[in-house]
Amino acid sequence: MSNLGKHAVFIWGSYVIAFVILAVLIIWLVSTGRAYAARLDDFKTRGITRRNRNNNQVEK
Amino acid sequence: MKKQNLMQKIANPKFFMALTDKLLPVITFLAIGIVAIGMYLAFFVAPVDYQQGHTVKIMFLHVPSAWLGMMGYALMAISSLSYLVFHHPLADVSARSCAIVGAVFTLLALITGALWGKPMWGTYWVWDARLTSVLILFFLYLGIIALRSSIDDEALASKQAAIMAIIGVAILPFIKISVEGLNIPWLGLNLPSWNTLHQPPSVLRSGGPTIHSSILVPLLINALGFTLMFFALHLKAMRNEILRRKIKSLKLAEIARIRSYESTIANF
Repeated sequence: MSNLGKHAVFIWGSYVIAFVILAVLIIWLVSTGRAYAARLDDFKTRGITRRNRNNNQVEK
Repeated sequence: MKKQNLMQKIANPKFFMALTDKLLPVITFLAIGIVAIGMYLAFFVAPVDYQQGHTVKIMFLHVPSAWLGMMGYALMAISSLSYLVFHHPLADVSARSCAIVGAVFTLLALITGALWGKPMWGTYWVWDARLTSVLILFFLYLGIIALRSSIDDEALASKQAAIMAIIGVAILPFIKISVEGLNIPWLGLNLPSWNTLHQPPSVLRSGGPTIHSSILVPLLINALGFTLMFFALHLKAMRNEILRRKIKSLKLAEIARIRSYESTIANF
C-alpha cells in the first residue's frame, strides 16, 4: 500500500477528496439535526404545540 | 378501526422517526464496518491490475459512487411519483432528501473519474456520451435542489420538483447505453454505442462480470458498504426534513398564538 506507483497522487487524491466531501455531508446532516432538535426543545419549553394553532383556528 | 399494514405504518412520520431512531445506528455501524473491510481488501489483498496498475484502486471508490448516483436518482423519481399519486408527505420528504445525497455521490463519481482518467486516458475530461450524461445527471440534481429552494410555497415546490425528477429519469437509460449501446432484437432496435474513452461495463452486463474475483469481491463489498452509507445518509436527511417541517408548523402555531393575544388585548 505504501508504494502506489507513479500515480499515487491520483489515488490518494481520490480518497482524500471523497473522505472530505462525505465528512462535510455527515457533519452538516448531524449538526442540522442537532440544531433542529434544540429548536424543538425550545418550543416544548415555551409550551408551544401544534394544538395551539388548531385551537386558535377553532376559536376564530 | 382498520388495521394498518407495514407500509402504512412506515409512512406515518411518528412511526418512521421511532423506527429510524433504532435503525440508523445499526445501518451506520454496518456501513462503516463493511467499507472498512472492503478498503482493507482493496488496498492489501486485491492484486494490481495488469493494465491499469495501482490506479485500479480508484475503481473501488468510483464505481460504487457512480452506481449510487444513479440509484439515488431512481429512488428520488420513485418517491416523487409516489408523492404525486398518493400525496403522501413522507414520499416528498424522501424525494427531497435523496437530492442532496444523490448529488454528493454523483459529484464523487465525477471527481474520482477525472482523477482516474488523467493517468489512464491522459486527460481529466472528455465531452463524450458517458461523462457528459453523468454531468447532466449532476446538474439535474442541482436543478431540483435549486427549484425547491426558489419557491416559497412548499406544496407547489414539491409538485414541480417531483415532475422535474420524473422527466429527468430519462437520463438513467441514456447513461447505461452510452457505452454499450442497445440491442433489442424482438423490437428490431439496435443502437450502437457512442465513441467513448470510458470502458464498457464489466460488472453489470448480460454475459456476467469480466473482472477477476480477486478484484470483483472487494468491489462488491465496497459497493454494499457505500450503499448502506447512502441509506444511512438518506434516512438522516429524512429525519432532519421531518424535524424542519415540524419546526415550521410550530412557528406558525407561535404566530397564531401571538396574534390571538394581540387581538385579545386590542378588544380590551
